[in-house]
Amino acid sequence: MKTFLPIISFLFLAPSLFAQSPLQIPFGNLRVRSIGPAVMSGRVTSITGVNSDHRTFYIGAANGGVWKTNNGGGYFQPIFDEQPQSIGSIAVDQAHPDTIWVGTGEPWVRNSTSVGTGLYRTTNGGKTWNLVGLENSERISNIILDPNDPATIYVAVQGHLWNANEDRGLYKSTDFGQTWERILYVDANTGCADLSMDPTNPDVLYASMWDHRRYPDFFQSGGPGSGLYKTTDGGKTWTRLTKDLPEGQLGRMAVAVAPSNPEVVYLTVECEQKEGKGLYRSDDAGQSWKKVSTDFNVTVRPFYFARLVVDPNDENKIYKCGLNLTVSEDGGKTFRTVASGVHSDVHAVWVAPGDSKFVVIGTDGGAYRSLDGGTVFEMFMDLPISQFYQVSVDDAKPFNVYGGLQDNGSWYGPSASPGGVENSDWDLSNWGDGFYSFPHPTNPDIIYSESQGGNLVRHNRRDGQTKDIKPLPEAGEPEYRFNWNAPIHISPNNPERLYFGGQFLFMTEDRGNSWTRLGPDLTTNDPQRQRQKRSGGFTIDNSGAENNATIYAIGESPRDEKVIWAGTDDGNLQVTADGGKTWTNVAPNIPGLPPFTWCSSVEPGHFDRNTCYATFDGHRTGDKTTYLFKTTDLGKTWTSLATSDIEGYAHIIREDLQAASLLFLGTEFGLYISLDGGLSWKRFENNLPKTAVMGLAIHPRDHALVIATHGRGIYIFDDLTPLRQITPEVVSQDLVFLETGPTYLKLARNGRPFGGAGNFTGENPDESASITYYLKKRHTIGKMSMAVYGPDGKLIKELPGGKSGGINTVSLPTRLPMPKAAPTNNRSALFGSAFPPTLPEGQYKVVITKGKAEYTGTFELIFDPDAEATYPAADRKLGHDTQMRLYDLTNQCGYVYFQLEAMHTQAADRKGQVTKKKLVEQMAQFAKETETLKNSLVSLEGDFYVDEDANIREDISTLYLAISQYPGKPSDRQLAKATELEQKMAEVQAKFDAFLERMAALNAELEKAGLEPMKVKTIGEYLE
Amino acid sequence: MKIKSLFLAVGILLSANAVSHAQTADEIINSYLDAIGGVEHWKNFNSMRVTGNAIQMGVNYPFTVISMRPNLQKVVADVMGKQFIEAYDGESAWGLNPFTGATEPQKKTEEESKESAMQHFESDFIDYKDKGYTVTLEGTEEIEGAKCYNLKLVKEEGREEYHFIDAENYVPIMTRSFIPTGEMKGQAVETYFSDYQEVEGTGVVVAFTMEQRFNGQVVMQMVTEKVEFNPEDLTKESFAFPEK
Repeated sequence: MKTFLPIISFLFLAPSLFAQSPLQIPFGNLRVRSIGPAVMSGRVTSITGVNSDHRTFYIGAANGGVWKTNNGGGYFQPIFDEQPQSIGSIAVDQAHPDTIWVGTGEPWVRNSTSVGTGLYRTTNGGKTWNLVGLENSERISNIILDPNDPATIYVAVQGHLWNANEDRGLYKSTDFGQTWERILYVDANTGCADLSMDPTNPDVLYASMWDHRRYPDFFQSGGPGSGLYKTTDGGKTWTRLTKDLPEGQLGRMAVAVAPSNPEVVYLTVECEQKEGKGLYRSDDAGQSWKKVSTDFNVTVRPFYFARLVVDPNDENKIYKCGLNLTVSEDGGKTFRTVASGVHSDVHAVWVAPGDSKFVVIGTDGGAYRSLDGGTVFEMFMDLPISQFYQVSVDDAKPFNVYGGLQDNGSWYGPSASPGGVENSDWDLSNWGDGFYSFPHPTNPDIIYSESQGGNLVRHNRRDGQTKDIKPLPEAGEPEYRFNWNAPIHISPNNPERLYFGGQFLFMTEDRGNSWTRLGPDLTTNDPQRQRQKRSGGFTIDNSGAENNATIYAIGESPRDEKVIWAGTDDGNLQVTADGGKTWTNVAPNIPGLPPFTWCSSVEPGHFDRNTCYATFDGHRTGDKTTYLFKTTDLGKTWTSLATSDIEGYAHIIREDLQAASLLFLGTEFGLYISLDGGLSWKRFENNLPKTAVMGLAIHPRDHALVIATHGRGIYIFDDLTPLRQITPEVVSQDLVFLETGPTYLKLARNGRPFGGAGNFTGENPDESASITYYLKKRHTIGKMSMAVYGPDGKLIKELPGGKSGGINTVSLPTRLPMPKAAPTNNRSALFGSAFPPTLPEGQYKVVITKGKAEYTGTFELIFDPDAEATYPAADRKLGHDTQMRLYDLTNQCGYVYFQLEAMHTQAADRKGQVTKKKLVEQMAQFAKETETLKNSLVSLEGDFYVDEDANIREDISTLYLAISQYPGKPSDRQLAKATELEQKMAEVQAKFDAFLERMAALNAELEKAGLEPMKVKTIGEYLE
Repeated sequence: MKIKSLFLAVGILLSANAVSHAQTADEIINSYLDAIGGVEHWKNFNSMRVTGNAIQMGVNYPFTVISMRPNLQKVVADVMGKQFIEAYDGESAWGLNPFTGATEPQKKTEEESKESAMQHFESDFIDYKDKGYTVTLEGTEEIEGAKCYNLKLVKEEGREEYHFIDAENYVPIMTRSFIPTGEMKGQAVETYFSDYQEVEGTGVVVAFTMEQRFNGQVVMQMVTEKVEFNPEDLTKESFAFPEK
């Protein structure tokens, strides 16, 4: 008996286990749409192309994947969306250009850089990719294939940025990446930052090794491990090159062999001794060197710009990446800076080997192409690789999206626009690097934005003026410290209250004209974390990027304005319940969180004042664990909500505004959604690449989730309402309709035509009525279909419906089916009959039949309430009724036309079978007359362009087209013309009816002769 | 003792599960060919006519597809009273697209003809080795919430397709192919299949609903109403370019 006890108690436990069991469903065809923008684009890290056809090239982005063009940049397509989006290097197998190698993890190691996950290869031009090793490399700076042997590949692994690791160094494979040998290694702090090969002798390679490390509060470029190495036997043995090069420790160096004369090698040197820095040239393949330039762009920020490209056809033409692109045409003696409006911070250059005048460069603000060898550059305006840090929304219709970007200021643009969201729809509110940007909640003219270092501004979009409102220290106060991404927070309880975080928490209620400090320094205030001014290593880099011991996340409880949370970059999570007078650091209460871990976001609960969610991010010390916690007692105790479903360190957590168990998490590798309050998570993949999600905003009116990615711009999840309804009760049923609110019949608007290719256009929201339901299991076998009934109960549409397991959204166009018109060769008449009237407003019924089961749901169509005043119901009705009259006339005319055609064909056909002469004559006459009337209805002559005619069919459609373009009352003349056309059609109908009578008489004769009678359809049959 | 046997039973169940999952590509193909009625049934058929309704951008229009061994095909759709045709007559592809202003059928390029010639009457998986194709099992993947086997099929000229076979019913739920030419070359097009039913009296099973998606968005749906095998009025002439 005893043995049964555990089983029985298990059975009793089962219901409660069930209640807490994870709720995971497929997201079906719910998808996000991209609105770009590409106007500012984003950081480009690597460019390479096909030598034999330089119109085919590839662009790798800092966190925006790989883009391919076949036409010199007229059109780009992303080919790497399923993999991590941080690109280090791309290499094409020139003998088999469909084979492409992509090393992930960018080598330009600024504070905000992402991470890679190894080396990938496609053999089919990017259709499918395989991971081919070096998974723990984190960053790959260079890939070079042996031009004589595509199986042999060299991969420069720069390695981990924030911790020591032994996977660094130079790797070689001779079997397409199946096995790897590390052929050059210095130590766990020194990675391979650059690699160059002698193309005439692939066994000769130069490798630049770089000793470096980034910390949350400091950056060190250079150290004992750095050095330049050369091999002449494919990596078996190496010589460190030191002759003529600076003594002492070295930093990051770029090395490049001149392909047209491999004796010539260029090297930029960062080193301990200031006077040693510069560009060096060797004319004897590295044996001896001569310093040829100390130009600013040659030595500037080596960690960000150490890359040299030598023109493949000219040993003396050098492109040096830098704050600006500089070009030397005399072997490095003199440099010219490229102007022509190119974005600063150049990281990549590709010069087409077959045409040295064709040059593509990559910058912090996108990619550019020159056709004149690097003088004039034009920008590619369709690379939506913009790197947002944060996002917010306003309540305009359609709502606008606001956010700041890496090195690209703060921008705002519409979530929808006629013809799609274009680059020109976006406007700038502040320059510099951009981070948080918020519209004032009640005054749409005011935008709060900032640039790095806490430079907070208040921008008036009406007159374009900007006021600096950065808090300044009072007399006797210490210097204020602000994070690179200093947090701005708008109170959910008071639209005039704004918070800003330095080491102190600041608050204003007068739009930044004056500030109140809430409490003491909320950070550790550790002096060791305040080394910004000395940061950089061998090249001081005091940009503010390493400012530390600062507040990074702020949240005021929507339930209680006295409860405020402040998370810091040095591991504190402070909470106050008295509006900032007293604070408690609750981070030590979080189990499993390593001390001093950067707090990346806080989200006070929308349903309970004591609830708060927080994410922490340890990647800046090499800890890539996902840290996500929740408290329900103001921080006294915490529960981890991170599960093994999640990949990537956490940037942001958001709780839904309506469904407490619906959570959104942004990590370095995408968006995760939980339907069960964090018990389980699922990555949302439908149209969302595997890039960092850093900002999330939920639109309270439109129920949209706005997703800010740091590499692929803004995505919008248009309707959260289906997700809000997913409960254990719902998922236990076979099929459940989900409510989505009414669909508005919106006014149609024209976009801007004729932009040609090359300009990004973001997708607009779907304006169809959506029918949404949950389906327990994918429908594969047997019949499943959907029928839609109008407000009058009549069937209007039959559809196959969605069959996916999970959530299905079926879009139903809000227009009637096209009329069944007679043919025409008149263009506007053809277009006229292609745009049917909208469906009537009202309640619709949907019936899904699945096997023998039937499920019924409803949806509602209503006219856009915002346009109601301009287009009153009576005017709309007159317009719609007139359209319907013409729609019916179109159908009637089509009916008559095709029946006359049937009469003519049958009469002509039967005529030959008839023997009675009189009947033959009658039939012939009948055939002739029906054809004459038929032909008189339409215009089939002409060229469908500028030589067109019109008969009644065309007159109906042309008038229809004119009326259907406007939602209100038609003009008096249009109304009169509709009546005239009806009269004209009545005359046609009378003639047709007479033919029907004649046909009946003829049929009697035909039947007497034992022949089949002529047949025509009724109008009902015709329209079926 | 009882608990031990329970563990044993669970162990057996788990290992049985493991065995059933370790299928080879050929086993999956055989199960698939059985699921659609068996190769023998299909071998009896030489031609086929499918009629139904297509929906594109909210517009419904009737279509007829006729096909014949080995690769003859013709799609006729009636769009706004105008006939739209795409065809391959065994030698060249031709078509009539009134929306480009054409009033007469036109022959297509050699490249387009080559593409059309690669669309075969019978499933590419039937005797695929004899056809010179290769198939590899690329693992399993969840498609529309259903576990599927991912079969990679390599056809003529290295042309690749991915077929996702439902692990429960052994019919394809989705196939992914790639645009072969033009500006969109290499972009994936996905076709989803559902409503598999037996064609009355034939013993074969076909998907009565097909949905084509590009970039995750539905571009076309086709709902089959009627399938006829070996229709008597179908001849090679039915596919021919109408010479004047």
